[in-house]
Amino acid sequence: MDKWEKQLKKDVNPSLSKSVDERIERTFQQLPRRKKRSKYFVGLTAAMVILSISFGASFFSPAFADTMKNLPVFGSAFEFVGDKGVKKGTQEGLTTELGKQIEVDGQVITFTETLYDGGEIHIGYVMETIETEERPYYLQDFEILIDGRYIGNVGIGGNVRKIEQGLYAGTFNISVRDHIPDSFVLEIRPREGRSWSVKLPVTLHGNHKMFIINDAKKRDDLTILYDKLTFFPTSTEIDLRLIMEEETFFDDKYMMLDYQLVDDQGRVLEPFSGGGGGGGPEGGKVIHTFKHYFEPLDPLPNSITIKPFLRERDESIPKIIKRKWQGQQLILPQGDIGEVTVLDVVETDGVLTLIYTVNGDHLYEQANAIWIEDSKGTRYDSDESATRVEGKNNKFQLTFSHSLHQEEFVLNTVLMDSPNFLKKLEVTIDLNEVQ
Amino acid sequence: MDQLKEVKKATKGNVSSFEKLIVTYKVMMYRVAKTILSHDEDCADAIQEAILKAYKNVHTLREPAYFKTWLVRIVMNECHQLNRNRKNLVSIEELAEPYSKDHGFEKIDLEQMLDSLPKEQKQLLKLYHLDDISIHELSLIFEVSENTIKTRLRRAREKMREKLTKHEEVSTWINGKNN
Repeated sequence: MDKWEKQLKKDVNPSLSKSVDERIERTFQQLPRRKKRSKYFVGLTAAMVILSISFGASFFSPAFADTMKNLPVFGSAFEFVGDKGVKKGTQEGLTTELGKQIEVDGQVITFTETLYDGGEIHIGYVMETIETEERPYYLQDFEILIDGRYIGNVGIGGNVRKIEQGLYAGTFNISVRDHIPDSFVLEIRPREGRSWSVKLPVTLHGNHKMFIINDAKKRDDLTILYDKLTFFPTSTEIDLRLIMEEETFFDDKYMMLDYQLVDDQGRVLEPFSGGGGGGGPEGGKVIHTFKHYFEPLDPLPNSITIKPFLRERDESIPKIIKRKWQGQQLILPQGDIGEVTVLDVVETDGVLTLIYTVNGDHLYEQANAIWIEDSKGTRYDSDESATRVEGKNNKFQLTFSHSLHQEEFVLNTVLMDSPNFLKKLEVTIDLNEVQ
Repeated sequence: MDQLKEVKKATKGNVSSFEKLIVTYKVMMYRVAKTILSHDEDCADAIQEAILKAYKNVHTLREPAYFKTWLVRIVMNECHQLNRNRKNLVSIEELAEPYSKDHGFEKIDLEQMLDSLPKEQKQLLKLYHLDDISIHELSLIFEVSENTIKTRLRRAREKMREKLTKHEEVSTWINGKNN
């Protein structure tokens, strides 16, 4: 090979540049995904669905007072649509109030507050439609920067609820895998176009208690390294790593791995969110890091058991069970997973509240797999996810903002398979010992 | 990773498999893009479009073994398209932007020499010197026989040498004694 060819060979084989690599990662997020829904998802309420919104237009930031003056009568997006952890954090005064606005295609989005307690970052917002067009914008495909630095290793989820015609309240929860400072400016902007951006101040509030677990559990083709368990004011976080063979990873065998947390009183914690990831195989092994969030606990229990399980990957149409409500206790069978016993249905001020107990292997999935239909077959989903009745481990309630007074209605659920609990990978953390 | 298995899964709409394939070939895609475009931002645009188009059309791929060369062709098409759309004719000065200070002058010379070749020959020479692409694959990319590729390469190299003989540092470039 001539010298010029050696030089050419060197020139045409550069390392992949960071900016191009990041763009490829972002492009992956644009690929339309066929959702792998388990049967239980059918009954989930809109509030449980992870949403995001995309919009593009101008940005302006009027005075906070003006913003609040234009808002309807409710104090906080967090209180309206946040999960029980965010609501608790709001009541404990952990939020930072904001009044930043963006206007997008005739819609005004007001960011009302942020909350950061060391776990996830939460953002509250209100969307108002100025024009007559009834079209909620779901924030999606945006990227975040912390103190001006692009953060790629991040998980984003959220809830949104209709307040009234043309008015919506929503929250985002952002999980950053990297270390972040106690106080910072969070910038949100769309990935494409970058026609707007909004900068939100975020400050750490509240105390947390962390327990180092440092325990490894193995089964034939998977090891879970449990790193730590942290009790934040608004959530309970588990940090863990999955180690598996390259082949197991590429077979997606553990793609649907999830976790149940149970305390020493038998109370199953409400799951909030979770996610993670890592690089490709090295030396034939893959190591991925995950964080999962559950409801906060206060006071702390004596112990927590983490129970990993695999969800089913059946994508067939689920079998729906229908039972007419006749004012008396009734059982809704849910197949292998268990059953729901509806105790009562109460209607107050146009809001229907369903009170029921759940027996089975996965209480929260079962508790949320319920919806109602009126006599015409119109489906109504609950306003938000099922709430556990305080003091009871398996008693729940769901609310529906629909008046069905004097009308017959039907309760619906679906048949589900039991989750496959991986007993060998289970760990119990004695919080009195692990300090 | 069993690539054929992943390609088959990708053709059936498995996003995860498609992403794994792109991760496998992302360096190659970048290098192919770099043979046509000079700026990383343009490469990123072309690769992004190529990924989206490949995903949209992967179900039409009949032979999984051709995924790699099929992908290279999409990347090349997107790069050429980008050049056409933006009329982004890269200037000699931009091309000559050195990768490193140490080899700056040599690179300028080399780029200038390559630029004086017909466009197809320059492209073929660059692709041939990529670590990731064989002559067999070049024959699939350009839809000609391997012998045709070899003939074209021979001509391109001869042309390059011919140009170099007119260059004042020809001896140094060919025999490596440029110091």
